[in-house]
Amino acid sequence: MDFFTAMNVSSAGLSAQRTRLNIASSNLANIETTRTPEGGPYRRRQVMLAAVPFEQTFQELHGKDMGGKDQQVHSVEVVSIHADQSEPRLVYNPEHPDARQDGYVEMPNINPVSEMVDLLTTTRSYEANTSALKATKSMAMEALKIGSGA
Amino acid sequence: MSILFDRLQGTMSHALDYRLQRNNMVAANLANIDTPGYTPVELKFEDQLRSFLEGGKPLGMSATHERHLAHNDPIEQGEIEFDAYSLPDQKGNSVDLDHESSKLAENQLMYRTIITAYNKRMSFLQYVVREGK
Repeated sequence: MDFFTAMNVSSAGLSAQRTRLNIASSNLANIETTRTPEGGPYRRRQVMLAAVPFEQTFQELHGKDMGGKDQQVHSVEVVSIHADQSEPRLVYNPEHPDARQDGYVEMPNINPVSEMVDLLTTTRSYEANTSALKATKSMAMEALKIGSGA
Repeated sequence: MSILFDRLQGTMSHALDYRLQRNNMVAANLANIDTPGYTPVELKFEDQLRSFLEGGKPLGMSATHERHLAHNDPIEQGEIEFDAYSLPDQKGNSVDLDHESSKLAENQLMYRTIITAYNKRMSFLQYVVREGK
């Protein structure tokens, strides 16, 4: 248990939220994309987050057991980014080069409203992590003043 | 009991340890604010600290022989609980941003308070050591 525990956990949170932000931007940017390397329209990407015991991460990194209370402190990790397999949105446009035989074009299964909501909640979560980081930092700075007789 | 290093000294450092641990837990809860199925954790230590202050039940291992060294580490005695403040959302996550933010602010304030109190005490002792100069 030290100040770096909280700092590491907060920075894991920040990077997880940044990944979500990147994915939401990528979904919004590809809202009209009909061609992808794997064929077919772009599929909405989703980020899967998982809580990992911080102590375990620390042990893997440093091969050292910290013991004590940190076993309930969970860091966060992006476990996977998976493609949403729901049906593509069909738009009737026979002139489109990617149109099917029946004249429909398969468009990405992205709902701009839900992407915007995602973007907003991601921003708030990111901010929450920065305030936790700031609080930890200010506590660490305060600890340096112990015994300074102020 | 010496006036320089009395029970209060130890209490303050334990209280700081508790506050730091609580801060770590709030940071972990905030980092997992979007993790499906995550339940926030909280450290309860007020009761343990109070019993330490009142000099009642000793915390940690107690010395059973006068030549034994007491192992008083109350941080081991704090209890980790799931913080059931709000109901889980659709993803099974029950982290409440406002609740965690207020805990963060309160904890930070208490940490500063303890350090300020500690420093005041030290400057008072300094005043005595310098014979009031």
